Amino acid sequence: MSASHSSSAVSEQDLHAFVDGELDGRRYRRVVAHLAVDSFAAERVSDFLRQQGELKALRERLDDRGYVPDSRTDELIRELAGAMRHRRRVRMGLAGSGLAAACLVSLWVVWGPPPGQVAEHLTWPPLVLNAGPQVLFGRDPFGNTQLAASEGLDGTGLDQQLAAYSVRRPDLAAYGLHFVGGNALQGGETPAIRLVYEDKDGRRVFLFVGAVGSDADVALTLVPEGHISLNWRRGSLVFALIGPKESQQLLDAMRATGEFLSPPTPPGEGEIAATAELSASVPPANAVKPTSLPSATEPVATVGHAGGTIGHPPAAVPEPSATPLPAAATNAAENRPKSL
Amino acid sequence: MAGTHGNLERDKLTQDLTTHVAALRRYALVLAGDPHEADDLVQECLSRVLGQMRAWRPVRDLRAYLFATMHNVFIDATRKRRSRVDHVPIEDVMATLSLPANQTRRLEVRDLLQALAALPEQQREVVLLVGLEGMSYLEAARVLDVPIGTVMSRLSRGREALRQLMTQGSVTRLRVVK
Repeated sequence: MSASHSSSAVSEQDLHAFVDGELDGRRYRRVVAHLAVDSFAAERVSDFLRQQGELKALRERLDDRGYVPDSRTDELIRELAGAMRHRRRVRMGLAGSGLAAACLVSLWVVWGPPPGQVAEHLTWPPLVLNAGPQVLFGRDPFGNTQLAASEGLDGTGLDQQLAAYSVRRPDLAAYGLHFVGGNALQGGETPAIRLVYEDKDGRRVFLFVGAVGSDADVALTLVPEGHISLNWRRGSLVFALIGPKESQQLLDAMRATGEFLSPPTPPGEGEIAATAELSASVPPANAVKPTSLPSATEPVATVGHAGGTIGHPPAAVPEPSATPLPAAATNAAENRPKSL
Repeated sequence: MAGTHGNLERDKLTQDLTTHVAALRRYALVLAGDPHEADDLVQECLSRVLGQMRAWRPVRDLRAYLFATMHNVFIDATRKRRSRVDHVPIEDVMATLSLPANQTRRLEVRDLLQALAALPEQQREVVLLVGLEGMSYLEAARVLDVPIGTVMSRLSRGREALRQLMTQGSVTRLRVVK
């Protein structure tokens, strides 16, 4: 290889890169070959290396004295160290939070319920939460929770507001609805009574009774998807009859329900199969007496008063909300103590 | 326990910073040629970095960040200084060095400082960053915020000028004002 060829291949910057150790192996060998044949370049590189040596010696001499920062500089160094430490801690905290979140998501993905199941859980809350039904009905007012034909009704609030009322379970068998069970719903301050019926196809109809002036007015309008709700008031009671949209029996059932608003009477024998008493806040001697049904053959769940005898509440004025009250029910409401 | 760990962490950070600041001050001393001005540059640099830290500006390489800030501080200081009489107080720098007793070596150091002071600022910065501080071309390019090719060309010109100043006796013609 000739000197002229080597010179054309090596630039001035290559010489400096050679001095500073910035060349890769191939270029390094090329420069070495060039310096072997170009004495002028070799002399200059030698000078540059000497310069480097002198700069390093200068650095060592500057360091030999040691550096003691003055008070202002020292203060700035400490402030800067504090700021860096703070930043580092915040970053570590953020990184830790992100890691924890990632772990939780991973655990959920690996061991959590299948997406379909999650979707089921996610679809319920809007239906339940938006109407605020948990206050009155608990988690699922239309489910089978505590559903029993003879379950006790511990409805203190309802009892106080309905001191002179008896609520009896209506017989809707004539409309193809047989009684499944009932219970008191204690989700809020004011309890409600729930009665559940089923038609021959297994479709359920719910009858809710609560007190006026509580959140029952709102909560009773809650319906599951595909259902319709008929709401009405009778004195200090609010009613909701909820069933499938296509049901032809709801209005008739509503009328029949109105017919059960009658003066409480002592229960007849053999009519107490499904009686629930408000015994929690009532002394045994004054316990609610199950009342008989003037137009039904089956006993009912009752809500009585603390006095032992049925009193006479103020005359109630029918206040139908969505559906006109049937005439029979209206008459019963005006002239007699309320019972269902 | 946590307090002790926190103190250790803070002490370590302070120690690292002091090392970086010592290098920064060394660089500023040769760059500016005046110990007092070097101290001012270092303090201004630290104040700026502290402000940027508190403003949550991202900092990946603290050393490079400090030198880059020093570069900006030096440029600002140089602009302000242009109206003043240019002087190179080499003897002040010499006073800060632990010089060998050998008179020849002492003169060599003085000549080197005079030659460096005679270089244009841009070339001087590159020569010092690479030669004095041992930075790679890439690090120097980041500090100066210029392409790596610019670093190489400035270094090439700066070194060649320095070589000529040192070897051809030009150093003796430098104006030394004390």
